[in-house]
This record gives sequence, C-alpha cells and structure tokens, in this order.
Amino acid sequence: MSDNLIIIKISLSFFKIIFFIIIYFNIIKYMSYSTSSDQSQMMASDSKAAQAPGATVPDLVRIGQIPTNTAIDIETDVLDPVVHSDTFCRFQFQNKGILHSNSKIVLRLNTNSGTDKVGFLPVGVGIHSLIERCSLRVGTKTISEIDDFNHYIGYKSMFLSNEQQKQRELFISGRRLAHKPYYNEGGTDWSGSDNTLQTEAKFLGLDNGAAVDCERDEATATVDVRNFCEVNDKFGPEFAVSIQDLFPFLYQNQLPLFMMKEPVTIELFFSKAVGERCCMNTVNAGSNDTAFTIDQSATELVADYQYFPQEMMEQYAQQNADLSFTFMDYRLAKRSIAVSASGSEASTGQLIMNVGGAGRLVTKVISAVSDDSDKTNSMLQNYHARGMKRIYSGTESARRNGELTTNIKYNDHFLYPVDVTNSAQQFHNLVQAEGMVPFIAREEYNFEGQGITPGTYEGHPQNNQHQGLVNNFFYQAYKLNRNERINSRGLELYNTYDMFANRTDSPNTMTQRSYLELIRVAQLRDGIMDVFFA
Amino acid sequence: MSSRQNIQVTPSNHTSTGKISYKDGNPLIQFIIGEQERMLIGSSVRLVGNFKVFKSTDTLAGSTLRMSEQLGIWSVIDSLTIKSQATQQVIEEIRHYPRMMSSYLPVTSSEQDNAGHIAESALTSVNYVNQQHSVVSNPSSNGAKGGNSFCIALPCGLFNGQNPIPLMANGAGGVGGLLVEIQLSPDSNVLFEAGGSSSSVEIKDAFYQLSNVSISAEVETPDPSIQIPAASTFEYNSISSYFTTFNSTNAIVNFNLGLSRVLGVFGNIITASKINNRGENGLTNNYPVNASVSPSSEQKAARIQQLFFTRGGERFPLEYNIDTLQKSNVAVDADNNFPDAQITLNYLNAITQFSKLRRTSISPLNTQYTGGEPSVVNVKVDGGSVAGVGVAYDVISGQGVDFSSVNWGMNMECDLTTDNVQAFYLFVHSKQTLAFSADGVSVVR
Repeated sequence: MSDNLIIIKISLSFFKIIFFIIIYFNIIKYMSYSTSSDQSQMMASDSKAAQAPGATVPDLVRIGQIPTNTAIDIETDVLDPVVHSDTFCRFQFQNKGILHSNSKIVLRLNTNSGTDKVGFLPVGVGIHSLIERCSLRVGTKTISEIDDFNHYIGYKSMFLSNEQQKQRELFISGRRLAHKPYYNEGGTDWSGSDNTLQTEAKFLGLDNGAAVDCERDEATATVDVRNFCEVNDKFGPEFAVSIQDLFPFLYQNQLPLFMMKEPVTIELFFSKAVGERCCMNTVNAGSNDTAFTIDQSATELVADYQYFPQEMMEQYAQQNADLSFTFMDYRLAKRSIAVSASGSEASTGQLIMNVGGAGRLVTKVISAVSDDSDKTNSMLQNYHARGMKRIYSGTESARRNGELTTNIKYNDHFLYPVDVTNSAQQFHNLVQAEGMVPFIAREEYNFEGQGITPGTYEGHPQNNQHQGLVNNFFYQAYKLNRNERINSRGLELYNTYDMFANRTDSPNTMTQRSYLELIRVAQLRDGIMDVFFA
Repeated sequence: MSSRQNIQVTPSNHTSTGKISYKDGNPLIQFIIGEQERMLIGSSVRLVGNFKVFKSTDTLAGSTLRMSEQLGIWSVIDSLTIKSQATQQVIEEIRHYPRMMSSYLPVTSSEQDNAGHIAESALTSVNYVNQQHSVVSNPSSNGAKGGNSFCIALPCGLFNGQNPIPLMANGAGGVGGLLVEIQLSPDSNVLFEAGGSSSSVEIKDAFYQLSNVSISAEVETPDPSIQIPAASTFEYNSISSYFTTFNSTNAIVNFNLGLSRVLGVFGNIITASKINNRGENGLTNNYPVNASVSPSSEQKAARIQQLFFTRGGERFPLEYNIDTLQKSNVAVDADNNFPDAQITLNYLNAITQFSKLRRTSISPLNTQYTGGEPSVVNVKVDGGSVAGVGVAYDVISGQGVDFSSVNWGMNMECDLTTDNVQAFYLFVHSKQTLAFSADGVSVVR
C-alpha cells in the first residue's frame, strides 16, 4: 500500500514538473513577445520562426537581407499629385505591393527672367529647402510628420560623407557640402618653388567638382554654383527627394501597401516662394522679394513597388494580420531669442525652455538656433545652426570664442553631471546621440580657428558666418540614455548663449528649434493602420 | 532594465587653476574613475579640455611654430597607463603613445575625416599649413574664452573593447575602479619650428598648456536582477610597445615579446636625432634616411631592398623575403621613390584587416621615399607622412599566434650607408585577458 502511494506521489511529482516546465516555456515565450520594447525585433523573431519547416515566409517589410532565394519584381509608377499648388501638394499611392523606401519625389523650380532674379539652391539642403512640412497619412491618421523639415534636413545632411555629397547628392538632391584643401596653386600666380606650390593649403573650402580659381594667398579663391543648381532665365533646377529622408522610419521599415485598406498619402507643405527657397548671389541678394515658384508640371512621385511571389505575399499577409512595429518620429518645439543691435550684443543669460515630451519615451533631442536675418543673402539660406560670436582682434586678453553652456533636465535630473561648455565635447555629444560623425570642418561647427577659405561662393565669403559656411553647423544633440519615460514636467533645455553676433544695426531675432525623437508604435490590423505613442 | 548615465571626472592630482603643462613640472595627469556598482562604456571615454600654445613674444600671428598636423592633440600624450584603482595593478600601458597613433590614425581615417570630425575633436588637419594657421596660431587660443577645445578618445585595448568594464569592487565582480594616467610629452617633441631652426625666438621658449581638463564617459547601471559573478574575466585587444635603434644596411631587430596571442605587429621609423628636437617634427614617420654628406644638405632616402619577419628564427608568417622593386638590377627601379606595394599592404593589414579597411589616408604622395630634411619630410600632403612596416599574424580566427617563448624578429635590408641612427618603434597588437576576483586583478598576456 505504501509502495503504491509512493509510486502515485512520484507520478504526481513527475507530472507537476512536466506541467511547470510547459507553463514556464509558455511564459517565457509570452514574455518574449509581450515585453519586447522593440517591435521590430519581435518581427525579426517571427521571421526566424517563419524559416522553420512549414512556415517559409521571410519578413518582407523589414529592410535587410531576406534569407531566401526569392525573385523580386519591381514595378515603378510615376504618380502625379492629386492636389498641387505653390504651397501644397498631395500624392496618393496605389495600395499594391510593398513600397520601396527609396522612392523619389521630383521637384522643379520655374525659370526666372531677369539677371537680378538669378538664385541657387542652398548648399546644405539643396531642393529640400522647398519643403516646410511633410506628413505621411494612412486614411485620416498621421503616421509621421516633421515640421520645419527644411531645417531638420539641414541637420541630417551633415552626416552624409563628403564623398557622397560631392558624387551623388550634388546630382540627386542638390546638396553639396563637400570640402577639399585649397592648395596654393593656380594659373594666375605660378611662382615659387615646386615644393611650396604643391604642398601648402592654408584653407579648406567647398568642393563641388569644379576647379577653384585661386591664387597663392587663397584670398581671392572663387567658386561658383554649378549651372544645374541655379535658377535663371533658361533653367530651373530639378532634383529628387527620397521619401525615406522625408519619413525617417522608412530607413528601417517598408510599407506593405498590399495589406492596407485605407488610402496612403504623402502631403508636402512648401516653404514661402519669397525668401525661403533659394539663395542669391551678393549682387542680387538685396532683391529679397524675388519669388522662386515651383514648376507644377514637373512634380511627380516615382513610386517603386516590390512584389514577391504571390503565395509568399499571401502567406505573409495571413501570418501578419496583426502587424506592429515601433519607429521614431520627430516633434518640433521652437521659440525666438532676441539679439541686440550689432556692437552691443550680450549674453542671453540662462534660458530654460520646456520642449515637451511629457509622458513620452524620448530617445534624443536635437537643438539648433538660426538667425532670422540670414536668408536669401547667404549660401545656406536660413537652414543653419548658428554658434556664438567670436572676437579675433584686439588685445590677447580681449580675444575669445563665445561659449554655449548647455544641459538638459528630465525626471528631476540633469543629463550631464556638469553643464557642458566645451564645444568639442558638445560635438562629441552630437556624435554619441546620432551614432554617426558629421562631415563638417571645425570652424563650421564651433567657429574656432581660421581654417575656412575667405574665398567666395557666388560672391559670399565662405568664412563669413552670416553669408558663408563658418559657425553655421553648431547643432546640439542630447542622447537621453537613462531609458526613462519623461514625467509630466517634460524636458527642460538649459542654455546660456554667450552672445550671438548680429548682422544688422537694429535688434534682431534668432529662432531656436528643438526636435524630440519620440518612440511611436504603428499597428496594422486587418488592413487598418493605427498609430500611438509607446 | 539597465540604464546609462554620464560622468565627468576631473584630474585628481592638479590644482583648481586647471592649467597643466609639461613646462611647469607637472607632466602627469591622473583621473580616478572610482569603484562603483556600474560598468564603464569604454568606447565613450573622452579626454576633454583646451589647448594653448605660448611663445616668448606675445603674438602667435604669423608665427612659424608648428605641431604635427597628423596627430593634433594626441601628440601631447606621451604614455597612457590604466590601472586598477583598488590594487594599483597595471592593466594596460602604452608607451610612445603618439608614435602608435601616428601609425594608427592615418591608416584608419581618411582625408575627409582628418579635415572634418577628427579636426573638430582632436585638432588635426589634412594639411600642415592649415593646422598651423587654425590651431597653433589661433588668435583666441590664449584669449579670455574658448580657443582650441578638444575632446578625444583614448584608443587602447581596454577602451576599444566591446564589453563594458565592470567598475565594481574586486570581490564583487569588478576591477575595483580605474586609475587613468596620462604622461604629457615634452614641449620639444610637440612643438617645432617650421624652418628647421631649434634656437630661434619662435621656438626656444615655446610651450603648450592644457586647461579645464577632464574625462567624460558613459557608465551603465546593470539590471539589478542580473547576478554578477564575484570572479570573472574580460578579454580585450591590447597594444604593447617596444623601442630600438638601427644604423646599418641590414637592420636586424629581435624582441622577446612574452605575449601568447599576437594578432599583428607594426612599427614606424624616425631619424633618432629628430626626437625631442625643437627644429624637427619628432612625431613624423619616414622610411630610413641617410645623413647629409657635405656640401649637400640632402638627407637621401635609404630605400628598403628586402624585408622579412621571423618567429623563433624562421620566416613567419610570410615564408619568403619581400624583395622590393628597389632591389632590382635595373637602375630606374633602384631609384624608384615608391615603397613596394607589399610593404604598404602588410603595414595596413597589421593595423586593420585590409579587406575591412574602408577609410584611410594612405596615398602615393604621403608614402613615398623622400629625404629627411625638414623642408621635405614635414611638408607632405594628404595629412603628412605615412610610412611604416608591419605584418598581420591572424586576421581569420582572431586568436593570434604564440610569442610567449619564442623571439620575434625583423630583418630589413636598406640603403642606409651613412652614420645616421634610426629609431624604430614597434607596437604589438595582441589579445589579453583581464581576470579579476577578490584577490585582485591579473592580466594574462
């Protein structure tokens, strides 16, 4: 009897163990799906599961390698806008295939008659200067939207390598911020020893693929805009904008249009025709009332749709009837800063700006200040990030490079233990936040040294902070690395600007823009897209 | 869930004036990253500060003072030592740090890098005149604010590793905090006079100064649910440095490395008389050069004719001699100014796996054989002279080759026919293991 009891007890214990093992693995499995903060990882794990026998469907919308020998058909549609004016246009996709993220929107400017109406696209952002706001909508829901996009893309464009800017972007989007050393050589002053002529480069300057007309001291080195970036009486520049630049989440994900039942539209809100789209050379820069209008007959969306074998797409749709992914979206907060007249500029004192983000998961904050008076009469237009004023003349003790003292506070703690004033450290923080290095010269970032040529680009001295390149890429970025949700007080940006330079003799304003990188979740269920904050 | 925080550490051995210079007799900077329940993200460690140059007269405008455009602020770090704060045991030490960087940096960064983001953070430049004009002679460098701000990584095995470094106490699964020591280079090896004069007014009293120096880094607080073992190991790729000289047509170099997992060796050469010479760039690289023979002032290049590396007296890993183009009987080849491609390729491969090398400053213009006089060697384009020898031992398994009980050797036949001592700096890239427990830390080399 007792033996039987022992056997029964052992059997019960055995079944208990088996039961708990099964429960344990189910919990683990459940947790791995429900607690993952990165839905895209979740999708990746699905695709691994899909490789198991009987489930051979790879993850089709996740950008990356597909672990199968699958033939892909690409179909390209050229879509005209459904609504178009000089201030707005809307495109609507056809709900078929999977939208390729590198599909392009082509934009062209009209010609302008009259030599005083000649303009050119800003060096830093190219054709993106036309787009003030872009939004991607599914049905009535906004999936992604960036306000002041032309300023945002000025920041992003810094991270394109010089080689890419010179060899690709110059021809695709009109961005052309590449550099090269300006060597002391040239046809107009061939003197001195060969050695000196071939090795001395006192300055760096723009490299747009054309020869630099320069002399020994480089002071007169001139570069002019390539013709295809210029608006004149015979030509209006035509370039393309990639939709993944407009909506950065498309760098990681593609839209499975064939699974979506609602209309998918892109809306572009254009910047003002006067004073916001183009730059002008120094001769014409005073003509700020020149309008640069969009050639509406040229605007089109070149949409690439990808098709996999039909049964694979059907299986994918069945297996992912409830599809969700996380993505980054950007929210803008901006304010203006008063600057005294030239010669009497002063420190702003500590400015505490609440930039929002309450209750959200925020991973990054990008901040920049632009000078409202530097627009058409410069080579970067208003799409710059102005740094502090410097004084390089007078007695040694009077000389200085202005400093920005910065920090950011959230959840009652500062991000940095000590406010950051060292501009090279601010640059490092920018690199850490973005995970990439900007390809800009030192003087262009923090206005230190005199390494950029005084030579001109369309008459604008490259080493002039109001017209040229220097002191115009002083972007700040903060990586919020504590993995915390922002509390109800939001993010507070603490900045002390140690004096901005004013170009004019009357008081001026600067605009400070802060972009918050927020985590959002998109959910596609039974063909209906929904989006919410993580 | 783990989370990260930023830290900023000021030197523990300096006064609150925050001004540090070799000239003032305090060339050592110590930073204590204290023992704490957090892990250090090695790749985020940065040395932050301001760099200033002084000379006897007031103004630097138009000055002929120069420093290495290739290294920028890295030229002021003579050696880097990382110790356990708790036990003071040395975890890693790289001597001749700028010499190591003068090989590492140009091989792994492009011209655009040196003109752009590295210039911003480390005060380098792609051209010597540009660097002189924008850094050494920067009008605000001695002014009231700002100047030459820098924020540099400290490349070394420990900080370059992928794994976070546990700062916990020795018995709690960590190294017991870190002590980072930076020995500054003498002024005479950082600053030099562009014209080659070692006694002119420009250079004789010139010195550099660092101010507002600190280390910034990210630390990670581990997930409290994760148990950290009391004793653990930490694997990283380290750099060991060696120095010797040669002064003959057949340079034979032998070292007992005492390292068991050697991944590669690379070395660079400079005429010994240029080191710590205010009239010369003591941090430049060049292939061997001859002494000038009166009445000429030309220091002719001593071209390499043959090169091979040995392990325990046998050729290894290349089982043949690299007979260079210059070994040819044809006169035009013997006078060729370009080093054999095999020398350059093996040098690059020793520093970074050649097939993965995406950005580099190497070009025919900055690797060619030139004379050693300042007017030639100090004015090379594309970021300055890039010359060296090296060989990779293991670019496949990553486990390295055992040199713990056998000698490493290099035989180099060159045209060094005059009396001109050449300094040879050798750097060995090897895998090491840091073991830590309640008994302290130990490094398995």
